Amino acid sequence: MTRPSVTVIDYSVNNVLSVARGFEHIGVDVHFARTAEDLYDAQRIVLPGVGAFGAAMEKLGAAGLIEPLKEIASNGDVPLLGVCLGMQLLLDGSSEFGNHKGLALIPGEVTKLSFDNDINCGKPKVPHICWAGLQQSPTAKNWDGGLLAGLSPGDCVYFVHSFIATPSRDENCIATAAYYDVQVPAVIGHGKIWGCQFHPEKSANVGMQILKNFVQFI
Amino acid sequence: MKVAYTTPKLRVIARLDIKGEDLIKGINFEGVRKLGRPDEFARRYYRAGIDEILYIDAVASLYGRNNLVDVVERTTRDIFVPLTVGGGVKSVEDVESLLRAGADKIAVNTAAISNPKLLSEIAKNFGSQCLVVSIQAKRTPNGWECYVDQGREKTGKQVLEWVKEVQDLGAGELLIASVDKDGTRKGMDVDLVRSVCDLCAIPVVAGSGLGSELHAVKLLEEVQASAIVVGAALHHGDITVSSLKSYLCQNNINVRS
Repeated sequence: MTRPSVTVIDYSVNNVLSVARGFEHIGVDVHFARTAEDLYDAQRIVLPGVGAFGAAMEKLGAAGLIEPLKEIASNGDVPLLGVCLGMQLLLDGSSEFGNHKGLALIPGEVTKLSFDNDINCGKPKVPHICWAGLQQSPTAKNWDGGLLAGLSPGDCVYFVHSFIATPSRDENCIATAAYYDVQVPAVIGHGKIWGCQFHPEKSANVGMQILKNFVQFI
Repeated sequence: MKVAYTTPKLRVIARLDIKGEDLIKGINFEGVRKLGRPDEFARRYYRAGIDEILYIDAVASLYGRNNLVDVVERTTRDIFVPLTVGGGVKSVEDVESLLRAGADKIAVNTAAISNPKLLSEIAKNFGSQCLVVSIQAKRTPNGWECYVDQGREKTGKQVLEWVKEVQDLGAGELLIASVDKDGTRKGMDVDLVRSVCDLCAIPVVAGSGLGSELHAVKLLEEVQASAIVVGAALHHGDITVSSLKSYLCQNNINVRS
């Protein structure tokens, strides 16, 4: 029986290796995509990312990956998982350091994490660096058979980010996590296109379950 | 989407000081005893539910560089919580090789004070999310002074001024340690952590001096630090990851269970 495989897009961002190691640990073969050609044979694709939205889109563009990725994802057959900045890139655009276009695979915008209320020592700290419990979003179907299969509300995952990616359609938001008075969109999904704002590859057993679910259910 | 206020969970970070291939322990940055392989200790803490791991190369100044690439690679093959690495990090190249080896965050102290521009270069090349500025603070009559080289050398720089500067330079997180309290297991410098937290828009990690679960609670009753570091007490078995987390929970401090 052949092992399942993922193709991780390697476009000079720093969580490529961590994501790869997470999948290797659960028995999945990892290939890397640096050019469009590498993408076409992919069984399933992972788009990692840390750092700035605009810079990441430029790097993807320079590698000739934007149109092929959009084409493959829009066809609806190949599962795609965006991790952290990778999730943010799935949306229409971001207002980080100017206005930047994203992959527009899930409608929505990326905006800076901001708070209505001060806490007792001033504003909440940014970046949001925290383990936080996943909560079902109000419009989500239950988590069975999806990216969060086998997990329970309150299971913790590790976040590090300063921007949030908010889908325009409520039904594309599958799970949130609370940080002071903000509900951070934590997992978004549309067909076979999924995104995690947190780092599953740094979220211990809960994270490993999410990686397994991506391979098994999406 | 805005709802009622939820206090974030405190992160508990295990600090491992490493000399060559060995986890070591020291008191006030002096005196050293070998305890075993760092990745084995890290693995044990990971299975017990530690939130993050911090590796410090304790002899980096002796060799003029950080030597932890191999242990970082071994660690990140099967430990899936964030790993911060520090000690002797001097350049963008040092940061790159540690990130490639699997580190998530890099802690910088000495090199940042002598060359503050290094911080903005690191933030520009790799992002603020991977940049932890580490400050070793020693009490003075009117505040605290920054020390470098594992608390051995004074710099004349005031901690609270440096805290303001590093945020503008691109730090993503601040690790604050007390030279007076480090390794003593006698309690943390609450005033220091509070003063730093008040000035910081970025998360503050409180290090040094944690000898018992009570020390952590005493600190957190007064200051909303984002994370605490535990070192010697954990390696010695004075506390365990679960005893610390249970005690925090019992005292209404939210942690990942």
